[in-house]
Amino acid sequence: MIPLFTLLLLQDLSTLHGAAESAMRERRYADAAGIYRELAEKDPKWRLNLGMALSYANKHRDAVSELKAFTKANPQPGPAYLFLGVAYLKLEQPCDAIEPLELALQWPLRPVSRWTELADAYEGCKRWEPAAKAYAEAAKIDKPNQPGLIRQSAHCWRMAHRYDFAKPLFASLAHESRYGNNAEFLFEYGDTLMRLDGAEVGIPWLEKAVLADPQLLPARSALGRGLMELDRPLDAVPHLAHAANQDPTLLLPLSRAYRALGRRVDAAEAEAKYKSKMTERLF
Amino acid sequence: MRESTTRSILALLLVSPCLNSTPPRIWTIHTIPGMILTTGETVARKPLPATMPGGLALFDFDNDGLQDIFFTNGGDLPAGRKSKPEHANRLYRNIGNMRFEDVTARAGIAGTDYAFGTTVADYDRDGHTDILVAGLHGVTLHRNRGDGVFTDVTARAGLGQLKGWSVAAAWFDKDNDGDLDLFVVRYVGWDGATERQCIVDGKPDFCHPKQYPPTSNALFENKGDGIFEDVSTASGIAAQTGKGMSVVVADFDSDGFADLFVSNDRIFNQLFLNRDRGRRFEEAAFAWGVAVPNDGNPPSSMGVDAQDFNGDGKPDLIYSALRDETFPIYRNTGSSFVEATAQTRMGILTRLMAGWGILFADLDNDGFPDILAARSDALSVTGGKGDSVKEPPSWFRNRGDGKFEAGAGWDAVPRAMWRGAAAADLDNDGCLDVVLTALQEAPRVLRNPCQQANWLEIDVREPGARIRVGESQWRVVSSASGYASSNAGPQHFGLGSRKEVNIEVFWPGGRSKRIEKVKANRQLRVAAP
Repeated sequence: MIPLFTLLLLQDLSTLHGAAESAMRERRYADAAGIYRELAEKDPKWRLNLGMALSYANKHRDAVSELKAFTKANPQPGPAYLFLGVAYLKLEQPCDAIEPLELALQWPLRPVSRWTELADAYEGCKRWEPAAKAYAEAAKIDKPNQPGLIRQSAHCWRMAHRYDFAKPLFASLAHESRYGNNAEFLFEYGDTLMRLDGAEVGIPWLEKAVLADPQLLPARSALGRGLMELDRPLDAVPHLAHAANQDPTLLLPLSRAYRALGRRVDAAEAEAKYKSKMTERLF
Repeated sequence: MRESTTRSILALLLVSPCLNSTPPRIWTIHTIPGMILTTGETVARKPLPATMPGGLALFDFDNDGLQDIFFTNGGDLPAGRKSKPEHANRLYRNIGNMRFEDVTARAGIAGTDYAFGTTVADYDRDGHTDILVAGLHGVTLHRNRGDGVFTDVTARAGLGQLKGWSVAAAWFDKDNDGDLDLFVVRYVGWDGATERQCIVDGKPDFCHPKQYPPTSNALFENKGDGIFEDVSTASGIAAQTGKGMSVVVADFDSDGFADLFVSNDRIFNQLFLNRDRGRRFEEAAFAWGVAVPNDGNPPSSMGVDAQDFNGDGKPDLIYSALRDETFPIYRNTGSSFVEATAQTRMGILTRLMAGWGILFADLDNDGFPDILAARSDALSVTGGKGDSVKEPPSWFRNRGDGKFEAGAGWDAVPRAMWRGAAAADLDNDGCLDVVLTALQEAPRVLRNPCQQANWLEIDVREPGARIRVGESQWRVVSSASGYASSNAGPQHFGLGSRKEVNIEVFWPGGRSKRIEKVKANRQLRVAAP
């Protein structure tokens, strides 16, 4: 026979749970969090729901605290890790998001977005290779977003200096209309080609990138460097000079371009600036 | 255009048709038993010195006509000392047919300091090649007594005063007075007690060199009586700071005096031009266009070598670097260097590589110096990047038209943390074999399958001497090459189908000797007149 006190408590918990679920359905997440907090005080298993409600209520720091406590007590893979990882991402702490999101992958019911979130965490933490691989995994299952995810994978391979892996991915997208005038894409593809296959191969894409966005400094610096590699100092100077204000390493190729054009004073000035700025940076 | 056309025609003349049609032959791998290159790192602790060991030397220490091998080795960190037998530097006597006998104990050459690099030469001119070792606490000079035993003469020679992290060194005659002076490459200011912990991809790993202060190199003048005087300040060397990795010596400006190029890690490289007959050195890397590659990004310059790869008689330069930095290569015009990384295709070939030891060496005996590289990243294999930091070694074939292509026959060589590299004909079969070191592994010898082409080896044994073979093959005798390594053996020349050649040797100070119609396929000792 169940004691009366316990029956009253169960009835009370059931009512509270119902109220919390209603609040969640009606997107009153802060209200739901309040109710779940009451429940969690009585039974810590509700900390998962509390963490989820806090997460939906954009109270990510509180969500992290509850979800960390929950996963400590319940370390088996489950949705808590996913919510914990996402909360860290929302807090712009991608490096902290990696471990819970890696654990979330072991949960058998895996929503499509999980690879993307893990990839975002790796990318935010500048762990380029795992990010590239995670975006590739995401692209396999998230067909509607496949081109964008492949693009992200290629970008991360490039950042990892694995131009050989990035190149075929960029190439597979190069003729998609959405990237035809996308300066960032054109720059990344052109720069990848230039590094792997030489300036003469990359330059046409870099020229398209600069045409699409003349203010895109990485494209202009890559184009300037490429033109110098092809011994075209006259064409290189405008690009190098434009980008050198932001990137002092360009002052050296700019100086060499000036020298090749017989502009000795400009060459000496650019080289002196390069030495001074780089000495500051390096020593 | 005219030059490359000429080179193409020359290539056709020198390379026999059967060489071009022969499929690539496989190099065989021999493991040196009894030694593992120790680093002192653990999974949790990554003191910076642990990524830096691996210099070696090839030389004939017992004058028996076979090239022997000396390996430097690490030790405990952060103490930087050798506390166990497995930390010993090792001397292996070549007993023929690719067999090597460990004679370390008898030679008394084990050392006590955590070691990185070495340079070998007969500094006291007694006919026996001596060994200098660069280590975490300075340098150690081992004098070869000639009876198979070496004596530590560091203190007596006045070299004990040099403290701090030395990586590499070179014997050279800076003032053409007939005795060998000493240049020591120093890396960074490092203190084991205050070493920081860095995290790469979520795991402890080696810190970036920017975390450590630069330091200056050292120059010692041989006073001729076995004593060296520190002339670092007087010569201007001490005024220039860097993060030195390796050095190579050659007369870059053809003024008759040896100059120095020092590769620096992530800061400007240094070119020290010899002035006032060796009394002063002028740092001229910017003026000569070799401080940084043309793109303006200072790379992690690692190992370096200087030889004439394009047959114009002037020593050119190549140094290795990390991934996405390529292995920049420069043509020497006599008054400056012109970067030729893109034109030679070395940029495309090495873009995805990270390298340490790098050498010019004619591996296929076709008369054109090829390039070989001991490769791997600088990060730890137990760090966040894991096994991806390991790479296979590579060689790049000089096509003879100013361009290089991937060399064949090394596919079976495993990925490892390759560091030091040196090349010599270890089995006297007329082809260069390659010795490589790798962190936490036994050293390997790659035996050349030896194509049927002619060759000549010229033994001059005097750093700074230049040798011309035929019309366009030049070699500088240098006691430092690659990464923290050295080679005092004979200079090897591939001759292709040529059966005899004229040779000329030019010694520092102006002496020279010409020998005509030298028959191919032999080793020739040439003494100064």
